[in-house]
Amino acid sequence: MNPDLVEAIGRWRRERVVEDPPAETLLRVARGELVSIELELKTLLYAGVLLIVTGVGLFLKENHDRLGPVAIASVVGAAAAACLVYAARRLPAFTWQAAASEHLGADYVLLLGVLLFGADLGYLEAQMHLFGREWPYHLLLLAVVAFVVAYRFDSRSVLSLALTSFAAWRGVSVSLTLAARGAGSATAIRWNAIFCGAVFLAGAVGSVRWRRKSHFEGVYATLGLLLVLGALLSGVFQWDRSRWAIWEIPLGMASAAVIVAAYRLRRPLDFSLGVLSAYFGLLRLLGEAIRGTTLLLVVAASSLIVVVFLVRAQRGMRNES
Amino acid sequence: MAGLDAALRADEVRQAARAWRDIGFIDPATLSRIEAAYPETRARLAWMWKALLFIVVTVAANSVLGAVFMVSSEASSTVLLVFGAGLAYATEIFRSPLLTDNGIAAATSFWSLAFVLAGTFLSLERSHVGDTAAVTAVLALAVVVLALACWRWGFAVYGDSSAAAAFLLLARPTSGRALWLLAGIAVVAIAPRLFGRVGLSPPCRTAAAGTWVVGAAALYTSVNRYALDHRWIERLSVSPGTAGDPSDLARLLSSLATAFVPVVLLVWGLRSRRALFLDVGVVLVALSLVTLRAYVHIAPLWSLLTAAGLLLVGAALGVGRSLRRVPGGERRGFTARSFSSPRRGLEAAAVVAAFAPAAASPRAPEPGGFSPGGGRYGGGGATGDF
Repeated sequence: MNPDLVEAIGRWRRERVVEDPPAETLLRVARGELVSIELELKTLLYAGVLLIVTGVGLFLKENHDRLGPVAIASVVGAAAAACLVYAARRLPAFTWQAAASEHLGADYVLLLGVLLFGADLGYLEAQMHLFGREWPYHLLLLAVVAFVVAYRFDSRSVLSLALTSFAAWRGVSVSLTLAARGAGSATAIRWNAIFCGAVFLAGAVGSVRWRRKSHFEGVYATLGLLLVLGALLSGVFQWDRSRWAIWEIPLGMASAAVIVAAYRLRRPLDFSLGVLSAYFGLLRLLGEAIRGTTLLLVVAASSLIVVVFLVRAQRGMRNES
Repeated sequence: MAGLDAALRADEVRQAARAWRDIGFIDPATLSRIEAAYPETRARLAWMWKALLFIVVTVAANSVLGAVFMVSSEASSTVLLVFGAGLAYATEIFRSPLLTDNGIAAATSFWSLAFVLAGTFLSLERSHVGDTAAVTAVLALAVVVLALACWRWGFAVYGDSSAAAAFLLLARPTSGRALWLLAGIAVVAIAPRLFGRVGLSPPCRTAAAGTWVVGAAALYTSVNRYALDHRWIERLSVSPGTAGDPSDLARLLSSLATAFVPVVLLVWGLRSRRALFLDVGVVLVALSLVTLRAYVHIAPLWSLLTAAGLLLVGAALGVGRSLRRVPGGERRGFTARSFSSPRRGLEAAAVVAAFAPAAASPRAPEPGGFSPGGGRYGGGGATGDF
């Protein structure tokens, strides 16, 4: 029971701020007489999907010699198709706008279907070498299929999968941390990350400008910013002490652009990402330029300046919105 | 802080009203009237802002401390204690109901407590009381200061941490397992009475719920067969080597309790209509099944995982469908309707987690080429407002 809400709703009912029936329902919720288990059911669906995909992955690993690739691929493919058919029969028809679904689990079954398809594709590639030396193309194929499914069935989670697969295809799946340690292909991976991030950001702009699934914009923008800023930060924090400074300039420019755009668009998450990346870039710069006690004091002073900047920016965004 | 208490209660009402507006229970005009009745005394920032300010303040506080360490001739414990006290004073200022709830107070309070506890440990160690006694004393101090911090500053997480510290303290004697069992039962039985107490501020009520979870976890750990066989609690005691093997009777009772306790919590949750009890009960059922799997190899792991996943998906779809089909959309006080704002961002997290096994590299990468291995990036779709 939530006593503050019980007291407030009772007062609103007396003063007719909130009429019945919603007031009665809300009062029952506040008293604990009516409990929503929506989150619990969704969590069970998430957990179930993860367990099934993990189980199927283990099954493929342990049984491919015994059953043969054709049988295994057929079973997993059939399971994926069954999931997609189940979801397709329950999800609303295609629209360029957001399509509200009344069905609790269809989106998760859809996600499971696409994940099973991805597992099946990866297995077939490993067994039959469909793409030969160009084996990463199976990730591009998964990205394309997931992209189409995401748009057809209006699924943010499947769109996230499509974008992640696309990034994986471009070789970005290797952690940028490893890239920063000076692995042979670090620079190439970093540029690929920037390219992918730019494509995703263009997708964000395009979805809003042309009003085509404009509610997907958040998925595009967040993943795009994470890739671009993450790649630039990996350049700044790379082990090679001779080249890190070059990356400070694009990092500073990109962070500034993100901060200004996010401030104007009133987007706190993106604003925070911009400030955070600029701040980390500044710390690296200070760490190279100063040493000892002075460094610590300068870091503390610059951090306090950033705090003041953030508080003032937040006030500005509130006042102007 | 009487003003803080009122602000926190108003925050809770306003947040609930905004959630009801988001799901269409009330219209924007009604929300405006509610917000006028519960005016905002201080701004609340989105979690990302708070996280960002927490990080920056953390860097600032630790940089200053590092600089003081470098130039000070004082003992490190004294510096830590003085610094902790200073940050506690800063928390008093930044936690004022007149200032924005922006994450600064969270950072100053966290580091205040960390420095005070670390300083106390170092000073005790230097006074030659021994590491064991110092750890015990710091745990006792942690129970008190964390509970005080929760009450004074209104951060529920400190209340939960205080409860966790109390159980770690109870594990210090050789009879730790019995103490966990008794204290766990007591907490599980008593804490629910505080969930809806009017006199407690919202964070303290949240902390009571968190304490209940800690108590249930301690109770379950004290009876779990695997934890008994591997002497998990005994390892936390001051003399971990003295614990002998459990008797056969203790093992038998433990096996029964491993199966029994989660079921009791589930039934209690269904009868009392408390989602928290159901959540904890489901998690403990899963842990009991994992415990069973550790002793009895029923089937290959892949088949168990797949079967469990199918069971979960089927159960969730079945329960959701049955709740939607009954008149009014509710059965025995449970409904699949949502009364809170839509949560976003979980989708991407689930995708990233689920995608990892599916996108394993089919073979070793070409030298110098790409090395795909599953996406590591997520967070798409996250939204926030200030």
